[in-house]
Amino acid sequence: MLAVQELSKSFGARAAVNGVSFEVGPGEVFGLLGPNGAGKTTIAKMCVGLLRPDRGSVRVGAGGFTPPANEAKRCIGVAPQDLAIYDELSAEENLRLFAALYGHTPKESAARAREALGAVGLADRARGLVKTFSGGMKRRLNFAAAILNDPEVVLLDEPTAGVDPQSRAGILDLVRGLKQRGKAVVYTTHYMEEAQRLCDRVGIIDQGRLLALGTVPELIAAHGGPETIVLGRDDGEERIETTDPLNDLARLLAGERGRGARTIRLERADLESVFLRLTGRALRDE
Amino acid sequence: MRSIWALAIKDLRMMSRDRMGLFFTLAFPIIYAVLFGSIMSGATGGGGGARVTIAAADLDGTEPSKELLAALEGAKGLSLIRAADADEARALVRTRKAAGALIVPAGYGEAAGRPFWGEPARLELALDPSRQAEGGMVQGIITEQAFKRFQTLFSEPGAMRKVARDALASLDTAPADDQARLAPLRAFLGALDGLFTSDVTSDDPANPGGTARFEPVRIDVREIEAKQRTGPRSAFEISFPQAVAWAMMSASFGFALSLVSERMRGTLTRLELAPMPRRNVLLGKALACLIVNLVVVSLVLAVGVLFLGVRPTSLPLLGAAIVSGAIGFVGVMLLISVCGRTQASVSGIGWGVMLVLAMMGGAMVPAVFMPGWMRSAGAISPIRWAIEAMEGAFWRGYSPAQMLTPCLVLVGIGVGGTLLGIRVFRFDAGKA
Repeated sequence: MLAVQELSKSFGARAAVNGVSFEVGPGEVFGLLGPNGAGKTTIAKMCVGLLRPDRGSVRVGAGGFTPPANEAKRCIGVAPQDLAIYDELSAEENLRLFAALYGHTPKESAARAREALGAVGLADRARGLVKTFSGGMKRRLNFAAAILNDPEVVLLDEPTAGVDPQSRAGILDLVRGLKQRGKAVVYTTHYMEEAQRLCDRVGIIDQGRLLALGTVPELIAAHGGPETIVLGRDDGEERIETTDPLNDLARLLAGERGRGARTIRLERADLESVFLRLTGRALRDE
Repeated sequence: MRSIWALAIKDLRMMSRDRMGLFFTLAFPIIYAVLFGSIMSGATGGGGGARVTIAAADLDGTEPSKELLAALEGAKGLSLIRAADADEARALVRTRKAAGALIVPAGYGEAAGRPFWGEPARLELALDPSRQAEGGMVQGIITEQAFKRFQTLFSEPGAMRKVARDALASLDTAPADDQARLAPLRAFLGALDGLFTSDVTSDDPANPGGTARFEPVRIDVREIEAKQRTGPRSAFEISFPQAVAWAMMSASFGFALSLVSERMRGTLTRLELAPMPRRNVLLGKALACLIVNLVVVSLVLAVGVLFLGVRPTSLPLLGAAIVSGAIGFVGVMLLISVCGRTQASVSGIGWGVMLVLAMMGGAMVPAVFMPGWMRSAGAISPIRWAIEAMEGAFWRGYSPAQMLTPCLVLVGIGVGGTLLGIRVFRFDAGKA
């Protein structure tokens, strides 16, 4: 569905993306994670033809089309992070316009718009002007524009940024729906918990390089580090890394170190700890 | 074509929902049209015309000085404020209430009564240095009125005889040494007296002045009549081509900004993602701009016909002029819209280009005041051709063959601007 091979892109002397490769298959949600300025958006733009790569290739759809060819554009739907919808038009008018740009007749465009609005729960606000919508509703409309033409691949760039928990839950359900319908979904996000719940595989990118790629359990196993026993005392916490938590815990409680503990906690690695371990804790600028 | 039409409808819908934008696109051109129409009709002599105000102080108080000021009060294009003295007249100029101060000094009447000898009649004109152009106009009007008095003198034999005889009497009082030098003047004045005493001239009021009337040339001023005129011509009609050109320029300018506005808001990205040629984005804008231009010009014309008495001589030719003019302005708009990356830059480029084109095209300053090179350079301005095409349809009575040149030039500018705009246009200039 989407095959990215050795993708590279530089802006001047700075390499924004350097030799990135991954594939996303039908019915798969692929998470692209990385700190600000890591190269996620540059990769996403190259995948949809908004940027031309310096090296490497992108193939989209069953036909293996190369963006920005029109055939490739027909295979991929995009919900950009910056909302790309017209505030002065109604939700329905926006979608009818976008459908018409794909060559649909007015009748077909109206039908597709109605279907997409129904899918994102905006059917009852179809005639409302977008400028009157909440942030969550605008995100859902942006999402509707991405799925309007029933593409094989859907690229969602930070689709839940700045929305309320209800809208977020709704969008995550929509992504699961896409997966069930056999779509290949590329999902970029800053929310680790979201990616852990939603994505079949995750790629962690930093400074233009793909640092790790795999399922969430695979990444945790490979990069999460050992589990940690945390003993809470009156004067603070003691952290003890372990590869055998049950035996180590029994040994601690029986020994001198465990006697003064008021609380005992076992911390297991998650996607966030994998992310921080791979990308570091230093603050990033764009 | 479907995507072009969809994009045009989108722009028209968005415009209809933006009240301020709608005002600037539809109402503003009409305001422009009426304002520029009023200004231009003043400049071309109709509709009341422009008047220059001057302050006048009569320090002489004689019959000739009073006659001069009365004549100036009635002169076309001049408005007179009477001042008690020279200081008050100059103060009116300093406070910008008058463009100049005319002071009629003591002795004016006496000097005006002896035009053939002695010191000439003098007038003092103090001008506002910031209003030199008006100053030139004032000098012309004063000179005209002074000559009219001279002309009247020649047309009244009795008055002329008195002037000649008074002058001869004055010559008698000249020193004996000067008499030989003054002999030719004495002979001339004698002949003049003889002329105005003879039956060649007459005091008949029905034929004042007879054949000896002083009038070097008589100019009968008539304006070119429009063809097929059925009613009286409105002064606005003459200025309406400029007004329509301003309306089209104003309507097109809004669209030049809309492309960069889409770029800033990110909606251009959505259009870039659609499977259609890049040119369709610009062609959609061009179509919407063309439609709005036609609507705006129709509105302006409706205002002209209903309220200002404007009547075109040929509707088909007017249609051709409007359509070709709109195409020309669409081309310029597209070219401007792709030249800047931000609204500020497009706005700056747009106004700069439009004002220069308006200036060179004769929509701001009549072509007669331009240097030769600027009149020649004006050929590149669509405004110049739009005005010619409109004038051809409004009152010049152009034939279809005569209309062909301005219309073809406008269509050429439109097509050329569109093609160049499409070639230059990039969704994102930062793209490799």
